[in-house]
Amino acid sequence: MQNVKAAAPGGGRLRRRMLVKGLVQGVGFLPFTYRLAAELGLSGWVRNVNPGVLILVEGEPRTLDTFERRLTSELPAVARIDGLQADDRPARGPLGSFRVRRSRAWSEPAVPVAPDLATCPECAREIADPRDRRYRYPFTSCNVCGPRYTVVTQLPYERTGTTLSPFQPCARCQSECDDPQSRRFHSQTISCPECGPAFWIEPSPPPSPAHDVVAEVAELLLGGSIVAIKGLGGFHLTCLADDEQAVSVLRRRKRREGKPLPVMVADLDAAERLVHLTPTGRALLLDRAAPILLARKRVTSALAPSVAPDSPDCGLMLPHTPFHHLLLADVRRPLVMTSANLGGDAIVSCNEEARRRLSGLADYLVLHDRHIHVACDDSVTRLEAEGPVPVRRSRGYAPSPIVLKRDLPPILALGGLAKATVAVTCGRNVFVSQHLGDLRTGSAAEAFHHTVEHLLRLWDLRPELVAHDLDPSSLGSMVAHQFGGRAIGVQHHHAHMASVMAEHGVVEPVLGVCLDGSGFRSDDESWGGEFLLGDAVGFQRVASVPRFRLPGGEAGARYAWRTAVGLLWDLLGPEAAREWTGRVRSSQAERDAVLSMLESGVACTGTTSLGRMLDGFAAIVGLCDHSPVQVQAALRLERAAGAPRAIDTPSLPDPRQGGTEVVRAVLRRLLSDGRDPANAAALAAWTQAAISRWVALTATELAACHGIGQIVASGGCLFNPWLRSALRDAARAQRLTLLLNRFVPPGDGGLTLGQVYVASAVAEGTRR
Amino acid sequence: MTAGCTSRAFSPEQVADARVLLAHGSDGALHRELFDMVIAPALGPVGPSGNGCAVEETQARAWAFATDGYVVRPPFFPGGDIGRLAVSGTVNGLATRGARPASVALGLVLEEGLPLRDLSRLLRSASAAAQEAGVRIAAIDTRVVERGAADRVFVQASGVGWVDGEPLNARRIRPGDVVLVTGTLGDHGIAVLGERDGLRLGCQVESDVAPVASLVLGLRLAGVELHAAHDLAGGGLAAALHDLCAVADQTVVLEEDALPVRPAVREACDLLGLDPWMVANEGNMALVLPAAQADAAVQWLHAQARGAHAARVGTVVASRRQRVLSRNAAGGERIVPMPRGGRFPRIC
Repeated sequence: MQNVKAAAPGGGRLRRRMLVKGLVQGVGFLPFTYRLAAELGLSGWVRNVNPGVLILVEGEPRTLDTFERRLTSELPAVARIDGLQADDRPARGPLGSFRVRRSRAWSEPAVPVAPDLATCPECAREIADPRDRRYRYPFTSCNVCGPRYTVVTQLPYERTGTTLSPFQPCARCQSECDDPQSRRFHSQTISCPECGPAFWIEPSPPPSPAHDVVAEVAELLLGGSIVAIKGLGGFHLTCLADDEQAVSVLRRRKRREGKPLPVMVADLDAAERLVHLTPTGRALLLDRAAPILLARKRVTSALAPSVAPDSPDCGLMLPHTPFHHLLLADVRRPLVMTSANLGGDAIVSCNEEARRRLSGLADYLVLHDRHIHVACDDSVTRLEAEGPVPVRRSRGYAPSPIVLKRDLPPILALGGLAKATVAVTCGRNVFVSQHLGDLRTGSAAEAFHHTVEHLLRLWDLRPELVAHDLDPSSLGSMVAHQFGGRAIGVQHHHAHMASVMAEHGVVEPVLGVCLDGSGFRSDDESWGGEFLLGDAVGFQRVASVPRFRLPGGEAGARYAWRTAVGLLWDLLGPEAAREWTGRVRSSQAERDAVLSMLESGVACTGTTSLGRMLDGFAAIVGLCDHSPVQVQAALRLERAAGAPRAIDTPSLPDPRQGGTEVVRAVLRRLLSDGRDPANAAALAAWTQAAISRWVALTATELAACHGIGQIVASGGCLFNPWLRSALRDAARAQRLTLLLNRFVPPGDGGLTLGQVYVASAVAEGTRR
Repeated sequence: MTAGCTSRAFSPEQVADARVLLAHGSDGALHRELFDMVIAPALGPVGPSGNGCAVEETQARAWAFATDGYVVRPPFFPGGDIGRLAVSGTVNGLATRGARPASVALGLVLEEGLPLRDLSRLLRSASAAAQEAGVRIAAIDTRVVERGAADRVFVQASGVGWVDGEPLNARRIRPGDVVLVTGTLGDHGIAVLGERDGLRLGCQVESDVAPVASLVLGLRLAGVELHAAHDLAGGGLAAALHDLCAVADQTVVLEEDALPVRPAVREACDLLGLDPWMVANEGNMALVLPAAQADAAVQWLHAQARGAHAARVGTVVASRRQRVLSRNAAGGERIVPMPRGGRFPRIC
């Protein structure tokens, strides 16, 4: 903050010009400023400009100081001030009574776009009040809630720059907009049943006494139908979550086996009936981002078994639009609310596409005519001991910036392959996009291009640096040269490590513990269990999970047993592999083929992946059959193991023998005890303990021996509670700092933040 | 001249046991003998009249030329060998522009020690393929290199043909056109990989290697309008469509369920971590034609021995950012990437 304040001669009136930066547009900041200035009797005006909000006020110096203090201390809950520049000069004559002026585009573009905000309690009350003119109006919003990122087409934020621009506010809405005392003073998303967008159902439902669309949809759902509903960032597929018949039909149509389906409930009480909630969990459900919270199911929960068949957890969220509030109140039962997409595809968000692609999945489509400019999946959050950790950072969070400690050059980061995001930078802000899906699908690739173009255009950015994954088959690598900037390839696990460093502002060397399923190293080699010593510029691999080969490469790893054969062959030898393979309930020809691939080396790729290794263990413990797995095998091992707990230490292999010996010891024990299914849970826990202990000890010893005080851990495996707690305990015992992701997912959704951090450091290094 | 070299390496009866000597490439007499005793008899009536430049007469207006190298490992595989492959591949290459193949020329690089019966066998099968395709092997040359400098046998094949009517051209592809394949996908690649280094895929797949120019020419003669054709050698259907789409500046959407794939090939692909569209064929063509012609084309192809499994597999749509996509039954679209080399070299 820089303040140039002229001494006021004789305590005369001053004119103060203030530029406020941060999350100040679309969050009720303008009306707030107006009310404050009016209350203090200041003259002048306020307007949105590209970099933020510009205020010009005249008054007594003391009053101006009060104004400035209260501006920063009493601002709306959703708003956030990142910087305030003020300069004073003597008053030059009357500015007139304080007013809000039309926004104006400036050449300096930096204002964040607000994320979409869940319906606020006041709006929720209005739509439930039969006397209110917005009673049961499903597009009710105000200055602190409603659609933002998904409807914004250009900046600065105002109605003509949103997809609401075709809807001209009626006289009554306009008068609310003009009324400084209204919650909708200068609201850009204001509408009402008279003038706003509307919902309808296709095909027309059977005649019913229902008096509006929401009530009709409620009846369809109560009748067991599967309905696709257009929401904030795209379509949901919805059905009764306590109706096994409906849920299993939905699962079959969506071709989604295993993975839990998210559920929406009306309120916290309804949530408590289904899952166990902590105070943090309750607060998170009520958060304006309204993410899906992963929480432990109650034994007594009324959820249909198919909602989350393999998992002790279930994803839960509260209504985040007026439509959802009304629907849940009408249905009075929990609803499955899963993104309308197909196997990694991007979420369906436009009406035409929904008619084309969802007609076979849903019995009815519930459409509205407010266009979704940016499709945005629901966010998913898990509660860890350290606090909430994003599994998927999307609706409600994107595109809020991660604010770094120093300015960055304009950077575009293109992310990875699955769970993709992109990011752009502006000043100290890193705007990480919504979740885009698996870029190997056509629709996610389209969303990727659309989002990159949209973000660059929003802030009028010309990237100097374009960061991408080293994998030449990733979409980012293929298009990195199209943006004019210098392309910088960032190794997958280096980006994971740097994502944590960026969040915590770390510049000095760290030990990075990067644990996941796979990340590109070369065409024949993937990484995934790496101990990296380095900083944002570069790294040295100081240890890894023992290397083994995957017969059939990453595609073959869908079959956990094939991974197990590779693991056994390369760590215990061909005999052990052959013997165990004989037990697999697959055809003789298939087993023989897999063995011959390892023997000949044809079609095998090497890996040091912890995730793949845990897959292999799960297969040997007997937790997977011979068919391809939908849910990762490693997750089954984790679930069978239960919560992390102390395991009789002498029974565990000594981690000081090194990774290879530890893995061999685990494999030997699994081979001898793994036949008995009754043993599976205990064996899974023992395996988790043995591996986690080795990972944690390796990390702390390497840190000690290189004189490093900070361990940085990232990668999708960081959601494994055994690994997380072992690292946490070991770091604490050795008085080392353990740093983890808090704002971006430790999985591949967080890669873009790391890519930004590495690219800026590399560019700075080469300039020097 | 290598020591121990004699003027006569073998008698006709000894061909069965004899091997290629380095001197077969450098000693004129031995070279002549190889031609007379092994090459000419193996090639039979379609073979060259002399061991040199051929002269052919024609009134053709537009000529088509094509050349390709063949380094398949192993050179003998279920359903064919490098001789049949070289002739078929070259003939099929000519047909992709709608040319009627006339003659091919073969340049053989032999590794010292190659059994002559292997040489004879591959040449006889080259001859059979030439007869099938109705072309002459107008010229042939052999070179011999030391052990280890080549892997048994490499072939460089060239072909000429003439074009009746308008040449096929990817630039003629329009949105709404239909993509056909004339046979099942991936047979050749899997047949070759199945013979590799002790790999036991446990499936009986024969290469589809065959000259299929007659399918393309036959369709045109039958009055079917074709816009473009591409063989499926090298990178399979995926590479073929990427090539065509890049020239045409269009996008192709495949229907995953419509792709003709033998169950054994599907199983092998599953084991090797491959998609059938990435795996090469040597007797299969991708054809692009107006939708109105598609049914007639498929019907005609089904009546042909080498077109029995022909199928309509995709549609051309206006250019999108992704060139080739595959749609599954549920409507989800996967990107079909241009296959990247490296993992499975020397399929053809």
